[in-house]
Amino acid sequence: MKAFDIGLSALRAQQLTLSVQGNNLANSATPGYHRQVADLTSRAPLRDDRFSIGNGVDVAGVRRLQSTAIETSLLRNSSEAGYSQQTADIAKQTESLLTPGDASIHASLSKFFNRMEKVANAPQDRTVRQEFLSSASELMQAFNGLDRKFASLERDVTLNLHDAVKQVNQHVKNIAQLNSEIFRARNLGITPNELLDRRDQVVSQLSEYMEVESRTLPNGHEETEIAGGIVSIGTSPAAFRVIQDANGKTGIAVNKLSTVMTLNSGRLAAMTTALNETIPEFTSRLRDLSRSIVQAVDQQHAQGISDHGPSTVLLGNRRVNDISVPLGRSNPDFPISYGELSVTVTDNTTGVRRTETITIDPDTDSLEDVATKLSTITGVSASVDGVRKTLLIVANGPYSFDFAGRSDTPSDPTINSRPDETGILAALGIGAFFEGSEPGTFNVRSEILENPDQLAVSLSGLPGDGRNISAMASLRDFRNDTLAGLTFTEEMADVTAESGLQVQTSESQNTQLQAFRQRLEIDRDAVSGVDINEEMLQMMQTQRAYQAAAKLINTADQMLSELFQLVR
Amino acid sequence: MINRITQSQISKSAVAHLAGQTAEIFQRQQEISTGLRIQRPSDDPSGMRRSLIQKDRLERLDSHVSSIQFAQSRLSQAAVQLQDVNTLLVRARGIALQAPQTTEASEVSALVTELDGILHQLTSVANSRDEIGYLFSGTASHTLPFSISAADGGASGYDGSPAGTQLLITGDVARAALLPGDLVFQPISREATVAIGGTGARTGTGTDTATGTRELRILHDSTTYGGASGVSAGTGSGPGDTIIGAVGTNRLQVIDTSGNGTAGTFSLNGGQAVNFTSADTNLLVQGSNGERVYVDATAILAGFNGTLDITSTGTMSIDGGLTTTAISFAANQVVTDSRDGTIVNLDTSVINRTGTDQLEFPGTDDVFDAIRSLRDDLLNTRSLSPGDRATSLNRRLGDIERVHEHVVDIIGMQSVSLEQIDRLQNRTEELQLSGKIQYSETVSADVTESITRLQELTNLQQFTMAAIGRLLTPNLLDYIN
Repeated sequence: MKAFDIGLSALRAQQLTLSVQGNNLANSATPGYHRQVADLTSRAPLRDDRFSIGNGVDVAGVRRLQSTAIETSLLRNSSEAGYSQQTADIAKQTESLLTPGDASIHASLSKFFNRMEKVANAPQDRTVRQEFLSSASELMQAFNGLDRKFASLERDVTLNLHDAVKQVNQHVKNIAQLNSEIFRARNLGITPNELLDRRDQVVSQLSEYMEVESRTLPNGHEETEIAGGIVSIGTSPAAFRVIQDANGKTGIAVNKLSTVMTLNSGRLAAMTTALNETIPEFTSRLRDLSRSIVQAVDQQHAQGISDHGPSTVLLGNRRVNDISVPLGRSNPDFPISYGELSVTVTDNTTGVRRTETITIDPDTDSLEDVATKLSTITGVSASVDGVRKTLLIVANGPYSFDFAGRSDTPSDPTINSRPDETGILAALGIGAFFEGSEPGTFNVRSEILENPDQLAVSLSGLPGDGRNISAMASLRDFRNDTLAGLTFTEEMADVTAESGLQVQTSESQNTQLQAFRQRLEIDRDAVSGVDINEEMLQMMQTQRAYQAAAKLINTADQMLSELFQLVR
Repeated sequence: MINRITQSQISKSAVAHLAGQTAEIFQRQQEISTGLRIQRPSDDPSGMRRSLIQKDRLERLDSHVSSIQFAQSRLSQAAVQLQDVNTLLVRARGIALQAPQTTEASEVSALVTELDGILHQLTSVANSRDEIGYLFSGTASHTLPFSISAADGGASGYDGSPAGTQLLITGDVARAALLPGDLVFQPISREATVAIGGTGARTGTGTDTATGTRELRILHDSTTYGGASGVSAGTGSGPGDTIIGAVGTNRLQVIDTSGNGTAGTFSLNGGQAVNFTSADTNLLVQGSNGERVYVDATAILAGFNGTLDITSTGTMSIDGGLTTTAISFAANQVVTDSRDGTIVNLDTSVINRTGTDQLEFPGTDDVFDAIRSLRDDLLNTRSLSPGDRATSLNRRLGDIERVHEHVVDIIGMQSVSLEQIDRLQNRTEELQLSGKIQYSETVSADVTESITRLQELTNLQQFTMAAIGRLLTPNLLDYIN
C-alpha cells in the first residue's frame, strides 16, 4: 500500500519541520539569527492505471529567510552609526575638557583680566599684585594643562585606533574562515545556513568599524567588500594597519600597500578624522589663543615701567633661529612688522630725558642689525648673544631707558600711543611679562613672580600709576586678527561652543541613525525574525499534520488487518 | 501589508524607549537639582557661548564695582581730610582778621601759638595716608608728599607726583580720583611782585617764578670817582660804602681850601661838608640821606675845586648770599635763587643803596606758607615798619582767603568726582542687574516646566513598562496547556 509510504514521508517531513521550528524557537533571541523554514514539496506521483496519485511529501530544503536589500541597508547604517558614535565619544571627551566650571580655563581667563584691572586701580597694593600674578600663573597652567590633555586625548585615540584595527583584522580573519567553510559546505551540497548567519554576524560587527558589504558570487564563492570595494575579502584575509602619510596624517592601509585608504564611515574613519582634523583644530585654536594673549600682554608690558623706574639692563627671553638673517626669515616666536621703535633715554643724574626712534624692517634687518641700530642711541648699547641668539640691551653710564614713549618734557604727561610699532619687543621677549616661546611652555616670568615690583604697571615708574596695566587690562576688548576678529573671551567661548556643537551634531546623527536602524530592524525581523506565536501556530499545524500522517498509517494498517482477517 | 512584529522587536523597542525616557528623566532631574538648563556645552552650544560671554561680563562688572568702591573709599577719606583743612583755614582767616589789631605781646604770642598748631595740623592732613599709601602724593603713593621743615615742623616742599591717581575702568574713560598734593595745597595765582625796602630796587617786567617771600640783599662792590681830581676810594670803601649807582647817580663836591691839595672839604650828594686833609686815607663822608662813602684824600690835585660823578657797583642776592649777581642797572635784570632755581625779575636801574629789601610774591604762597607768613608778620620777623606790617598783614589775609577759596574749590572738585563715581557705580550696578537677568535667562532652567515634564516622563515610563508586561506575558504558551 502506498499509504504507508505516503504516511511515512509525511511523518518524516513533519518531524524535520518540527526540528526547524524548534530551532527557530531556540534561536528566537539569538542575535543575527535568521529564521528558517522547511520547504515541503509533494513527491512525484506514481501512475496507477488511469490515475496519477501523489506519492507523499518531501523536504525540498531548509530555507534561510533574508532580505538582502534590508541587510545591506543595515550594514550601511551600522557603519554610519559607528562613525557617529565614535565621533560622539571623542567629542564628549573634548567637551569634558572644555566644560566651564569654577576652576576652568574660562574662569581663569576672566579672573586674569579682572585682577589685572584691580591692580590698575590699586597698583601700589602688593597683595593685589600677588593675586594678579597668581591668576596669571593659573591661566597659563590652565592653557598648558589643556594642551597636555589634548595631547593625551590624541594618544588615547591613537591607541584606540590601533586596538580597533586589531579587532578589524580579527573580524576579517573570521570572515575569510567562514567564507571558506561556506564554500566547502556548498560543495558538499549542505545548506550552510548557520555558517551564513555566523558570517553575517561577524560582518555586522565589522561594519561598525568600516563600510562593508557581503555578496555571493555566481561561482558560489562568498565575498565581503570593504570601504566601497577597495578591499575584497574572499577566503583569504587581509591585514589592515595604521600608518602616517607624508603629511603626518594618520590613516589606514591594507596589506603591504602604503596608500591611505579612503574611509567614509565606521569607527576607524571617525578616529582618523579626530586625529587628523578635530583634535588638531581644537589644539591649534587653543594654542593660537594662548599665543595671542601672551603676545599682546608681553607687548604692552614691555612698553611700561616698573616701580624701579626705567631699565638699565634688559635681556630678551625669546630667540631667533639665525642672528644674521633678516628677522622675517629667522622665525621669531611672534611676527615682527615694519615700523619704528621709540626708546626713551633718561639721564639719571639730571633727570633729563629724550626719546629717539629707530626703524626696523624685518625684510632686511637681522637681529644683529637691530642691535647695531639700538647702539646708535646715546646712552644705550645692544648686543646679541650668539649662543642663545637673544638680544641684550644695556644702559651706559648714568643712563636708563624705557619703551614707554614718554615726552621729553618730564612735566608733559603725553604718551606716544605706539612706541613699538613693530612688535619686536614681544617677539624677542624684551621686558616681557611671560616667558616661554611655545604654547604649552608659557608661564609668568620667574623674576616677576619672585618680585612683583618688577611688574611694569606704570608709564612713569611711580607705584600709584596704573596706566600701563590698565592698558594691558583693556586688551580683553581687543579684537585680534589671528582670532578671526574675536576677543580672547569670545574665542574661548567659541571653542567651547564648537565642542558642544560637535557633540550635539554627532549625537543628533546618532539618534537619527538609531531610529533608522530600529525601522530597518523591524523590517528585517518582519522577514528574518522569529515570532514565537507564529512558530507555535505552525508547530501546532505540524503536530496536526504529524497526527494525520500517523492516523493514515493506522488506517492503512487497519485496512490491511481487515484484509488479513479475510485471508485467515 | 501588515509587518510581522516579533517579540524580540517589541522587547528591543521597549528597551530603546525606556533608555530614552531614562536619559531625559536624568536630564530633568539635573535641571531641577542645579536649577541650570545648560550643564555642558552640548546642552545648548549657542546658549553656552552666550552664557560664557555674559558670565565674563558679569565678573568684569563685579571687578568694576570693586575698583569703584576702592576709589570711593580713598576719595571719601581725602574728602574728610579736606574738610579738616577747610575748618583750619577758617580759623586762620579769623586770626588774620584779628592780627592788625593785635599789638600786645601776649596776644601776639597766643595767636602765633595757635597758628603753629594750625600749621602742624595742616601738615598732618597733607601727609595723611591709608593702608595703601599717602592720600596726597599723587601717583608717588609711597613718597611722603610734604617734607617737614626742621625750623617749625610744618610742611615744606612737595615731593609727590604732579599726576593724580585715576579710576581706570576698562572700556570707560579714565576718571580723576585723588588729586596730587601740589594741586591741593599749593595753589598758584600769581599777582604782581611786591618789593619793600630802601635800596631803590623795583619789580621788573618778566614773569617771576619764585614763590612766597624772599630777601633781596644789595651789597656794595667798588666805588670810583670821575674827573682828574685825585680823589679815590678809601681803604674801607668796599664793605663800608652804602651807595650804589651808575655814573652820575651820586656826586661828590670837592673844595681845595688850601690851594695845594692838603686840605679842603667833601660834600656827598649835597650833604653836609666834611673837612679833609691830605693825610686822610679812609675819610667817611655822609650824604643828605645818610648814604656813606669812604674817601682817600691823599692825592688831591692842588687847587682842585669841582663836583665828581661817582660810579658805585654792587651785587644782589635772593638766596641769602649763596650766589650773587652783579647789578647791571638795567630796567629788567634776572636774579636766581640757587636753592630752587626760581627767578625774580628786577628793575635795577634805580638801585642806589645797599641794604636788604623784602620781596613778596602775592598769590604764590601755598597753604603752609600762608600760615607761616601770617605768623611771621604777626611776629614782625622782617622788622617792617608799622605801616608796612599792617599792609603786609592785609596781604596775608588775602593769601589765606585765596588758599581757603582754593581748598573749597578742591573740595568741590572732589565732591564732583565722588558724585561722578557714585553715578558710575549706580550705572555699573544697573548693568550688573540687567546682566544677571540675561545670564539667568540663558542658563537657568524653567523648574516648573522641568517638574511637569519629569512627572510626564515618569508616567510614560510606567505606562511603557506596564504595556510591555502586558504584551510579552500572554502568548500561545499559555494556551498550549
